[in-house]
Amino acid sequence: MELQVLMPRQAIAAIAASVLLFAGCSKEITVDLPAPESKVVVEGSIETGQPPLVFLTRTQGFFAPTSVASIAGTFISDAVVTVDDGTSTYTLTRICSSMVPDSLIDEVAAGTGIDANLLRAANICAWTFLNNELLGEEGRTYRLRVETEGRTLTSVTTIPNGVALDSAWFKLDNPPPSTNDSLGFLWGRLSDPDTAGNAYRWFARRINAGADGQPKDSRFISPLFGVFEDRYIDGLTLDFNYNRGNVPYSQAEDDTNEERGYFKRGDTVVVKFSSIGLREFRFFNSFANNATSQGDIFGNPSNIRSNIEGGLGVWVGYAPRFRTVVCQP
Amino acid sequence: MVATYERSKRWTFGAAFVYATGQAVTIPVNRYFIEGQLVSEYTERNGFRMAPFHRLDLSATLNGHETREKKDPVTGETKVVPKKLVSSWSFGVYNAYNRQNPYFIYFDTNGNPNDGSFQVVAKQVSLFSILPSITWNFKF
Repeated sequence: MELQVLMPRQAIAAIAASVLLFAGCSKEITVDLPAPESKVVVEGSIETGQPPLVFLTRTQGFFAPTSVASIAGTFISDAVVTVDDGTSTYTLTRICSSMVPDSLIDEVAAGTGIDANLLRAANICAWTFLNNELLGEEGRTYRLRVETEGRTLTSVTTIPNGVALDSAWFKLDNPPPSTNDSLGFLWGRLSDPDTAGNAYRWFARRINAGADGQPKDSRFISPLFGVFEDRYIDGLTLDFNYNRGNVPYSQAEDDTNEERGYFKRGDTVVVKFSSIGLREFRFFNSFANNATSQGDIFGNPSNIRSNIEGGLGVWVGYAPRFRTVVCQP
Repeated sequence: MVATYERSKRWTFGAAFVYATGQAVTIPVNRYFIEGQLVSEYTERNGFRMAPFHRLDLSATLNGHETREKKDPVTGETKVVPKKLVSSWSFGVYNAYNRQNPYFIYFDTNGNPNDGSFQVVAKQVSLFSILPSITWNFKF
């Protein structure tokens, strides 16, 4: 009101128009990007006591169509995938979503983490070894070879010896008496072995029932930056904590409201604390950097450090140790 | 490139044209998904050049009189004497043709790739559009 008394309306309008006219601005532009060839992306893992599991996709141009069909088209369904454990070479079996009855698609989506819409829209395939001849062993090295689309990709990973957490517990973010909060983080105590070069990846899964009667998390989820190495903590015992990760682009209620990133009093959480190799740590660390730079004007434009020769992605050996935490402070 | 034209003792006009090659930046060229999360493959470092920077600045200067006439109170003669305060007015236009020069570009993603609402756009941020100015210079 005082401003209006001091300055006539026309003057205010003129100043506002000047600010709009002379201020810096942001506009959408068309960028003529260079078009490098598409590359094959490997997402392969083998963990203690489990068979290998490999997914294959290919990169798309940054401005390629963004429909579900276009994204579904990035999955590769024709490849020869072998794993060599140092003794024998095993040709993995292909399992595709087209073989799965529609009634089971939601279950498969929950188990693999691949969206159900994508599974229905495309013939998404995974490669694994169905009988129990090829199960991950700690201390063993596994060589992956993928032949697809006229290209050969190779990688090697070793399942390290697993390291269990000394303990794990839930701690409220704002403990009483200051608030009556029910949200908090999971903490772990680790005694790192006195050998340099250990690295770890943290996963957690809430197994208590949500509103729909199903477990709150259908699979283990690792938060971004859920990896660390022992460069600065070699041989030490330390306490650390992690927030709750979420499935990318999740629209679940507790991933979109104030509970996002938090565990909640009453949750029962299984922690899967996995030892991994250093090269695999570098992959997941650079993956988190890359993922969090999307759409960020201050983002760090750095490529992900892959351990795949001839392509992108990762071939990782996990040595997990499990621990269950009931979230009661 | 700078040009000046002295139209008279009072009026001087100037123009400056600035041109620079666009800055080299590192930008994404491919996209792919890891564990359902979108990630980018970038060009080699500084592998892309933004649009060139150019602008035209114009100015006009009106110089004030440096002398004045003064009447001697004793003799009644009129003399020309230097003024104690000499001033000039400058009228300028920065970026006269309102070129939106790229300051930086970034890539924004929105929506969910799993339901078709996903969008990728490139955005350019520019700092100074056309900018008029008036300056009063004085010396004493």
